[in-house]
Amino acid sequence: MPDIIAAADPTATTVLLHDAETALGTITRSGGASLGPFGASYSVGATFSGGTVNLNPPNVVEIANCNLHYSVSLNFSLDLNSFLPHFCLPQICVFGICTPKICINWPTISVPFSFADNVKFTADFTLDAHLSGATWLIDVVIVGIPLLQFGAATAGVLAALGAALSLAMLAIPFIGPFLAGAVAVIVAAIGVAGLTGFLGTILTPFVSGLRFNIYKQPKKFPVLPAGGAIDPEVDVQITAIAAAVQATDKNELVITGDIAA
Amino acid sequence: MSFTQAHHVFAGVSETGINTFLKAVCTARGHYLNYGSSAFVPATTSGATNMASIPFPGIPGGIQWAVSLSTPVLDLFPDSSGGTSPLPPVANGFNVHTKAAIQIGCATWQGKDRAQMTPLKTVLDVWALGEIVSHYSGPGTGFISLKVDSVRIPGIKPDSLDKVLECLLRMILAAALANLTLPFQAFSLGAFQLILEQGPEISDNQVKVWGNIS
Amino acid sequence: MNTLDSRSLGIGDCFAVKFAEAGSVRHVLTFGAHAPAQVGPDEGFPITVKKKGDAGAPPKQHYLLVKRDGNQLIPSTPELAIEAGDTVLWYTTDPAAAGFCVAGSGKGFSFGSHGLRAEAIYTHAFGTPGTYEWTDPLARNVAGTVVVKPVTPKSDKERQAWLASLSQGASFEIRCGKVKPAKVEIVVGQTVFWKAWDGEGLAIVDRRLQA
Repeated sequence: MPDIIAAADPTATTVLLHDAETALGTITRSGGASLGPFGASYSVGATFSGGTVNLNPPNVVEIANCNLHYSVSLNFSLDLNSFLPHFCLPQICVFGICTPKICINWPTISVPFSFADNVKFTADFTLDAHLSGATWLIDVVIVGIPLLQFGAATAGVLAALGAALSLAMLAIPFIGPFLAGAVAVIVAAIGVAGLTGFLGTILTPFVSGLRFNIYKQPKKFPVLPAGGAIDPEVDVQITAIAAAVQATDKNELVITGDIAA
Repeated sequence: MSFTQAHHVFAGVSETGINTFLKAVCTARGHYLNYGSSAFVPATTSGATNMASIPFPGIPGGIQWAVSLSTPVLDLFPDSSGGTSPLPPVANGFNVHTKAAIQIGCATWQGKDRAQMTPLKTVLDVWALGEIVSHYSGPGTGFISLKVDSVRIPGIKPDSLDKVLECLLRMILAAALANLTLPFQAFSLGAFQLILEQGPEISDNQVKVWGNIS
Repeated sequence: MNTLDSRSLGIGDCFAVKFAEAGSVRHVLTFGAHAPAQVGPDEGFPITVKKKGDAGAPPKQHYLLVKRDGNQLIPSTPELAIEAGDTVLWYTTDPAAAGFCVAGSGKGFSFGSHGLRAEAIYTHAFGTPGTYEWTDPLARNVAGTVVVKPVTPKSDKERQAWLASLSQGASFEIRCGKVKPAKVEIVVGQTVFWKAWDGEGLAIVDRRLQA
């Protein structure tokens, strides 16, 4: 019989998981990805929360509807000459002199845009109990890459992107009468497919290889803290840790451990 | 039958585990088990507790003495001795086995005898029955301690001496074991912070607790 | 970018001077308002103003397109020959040349986009809606207002109507220190002309650009 047996049902395991999600904190990444026809540089931060746990013996912890919250800042540049009509100031004559026809070369602009949203996913995780240095860890490790389901909010993000485009173009002289049309064309060029493709590219690394830590204790486990000069700290050595899912009348996460004085 | 039953979490420490914890505590804090007056324990350290000698009129410096207990070994219900234990554990309880070494400083000081002291020691095989006492004070906090209910010292004669020694050792063992505490956190090796709902109970050679987590 | 400032000419701005008398003129193109009061005989670019050959012929207008070449500003015709009575108009389509200033002088006279005088003309095409109060930094009583209305065409027909309207403009005349009219209203994309008939030389500058 192991020295220690600790068991948690799915409800308690869900609490352990939520604590692990919180402990993971915010993960950040940056890089470049395609946003429709444009190349965009981005930085993104992600946190995880929620989800419910189903325990499947011998080793599977399914997490259903886990929330991936993300916050993205991206920047892409576009040559407006590709999206705006050719425009020239015509010749105009006053006081007996005439101005020349002057054609306007639209600039290449940089569009910064930030947005945050939430995507859910469901995935199987396996239990991994191991010693890392002098610390015992039990992680739940994702199996494969889950499908990220982007919801109806994506259309709202496109609308906000259109607003960001308008803002970036507003100060360009002579653009006013062309602005609405240009924004519509650019947003359509990106489209829902371009935006979800971009989001999939930048968010998949967060879930690929995802690992939540549900147990972390030093090999030298403190039993009693020091209580003074004649009462030193009391420790035991954890010599083994294992984790599995066991099924009886209900499925449980069972952690076993052995100790030595 | 699941471990957690009608609760959300379960933690159990086996007999071997309990004895490993006790060994760790007693090794680090031997003063819980070793007591003596200044001839045997000059000063209190982590290993031993200095006590006053027993004053007696006419004995210079009083009677020097020492009592040491070996690291107690618990047997959680049911009996693991194969029937050889003189005091098998009862339901929801444990027995504890220790060796009690009693020493006195046998002194001479009168007449032409020079003042000298010779330590004399006897070791008694002590068995006791006990139960777990829970001290739960909130989620993730609290501890258990050990309560001694009765003591047996096999082979002591006459009966009156047996009774005196059993009472003496019961008091000493009860006081010493009351210092040996084990936090609930250790029951799960820190896996979760327990909200205690049931237990601690002793069965199947384990100390068991059930509850929820915060 | 599209600032109202005759001292700093950009895309959509023009500066024009009529050369009434024959003679040799030299002009320089500089950045910002650092224009010399006089241009020496070996400086800048020459404009040779010949006597008018055919007194009955109408005066001509000559265009000088200003471009940037390295650190220098160059006119499209570095050595220009015109006849007395002709007008020379400076403008640019090169974003790298934006912010240029024209200054020049001949025998007994000088001219510059920072100091309009003697029938010099400055034009500015307005690219952004708003109300623009302009003034001469050195003579604050010489001032006026341009109201630029936004245009948001909802159909091709409306867009074509707007484009057609760009061929019309508005104008201010400054004579003896007085501005007529006080205010003009245009739509975005249209051009306003300023003609300074006399004076010691004035600049047309958005009041918000002045301290």
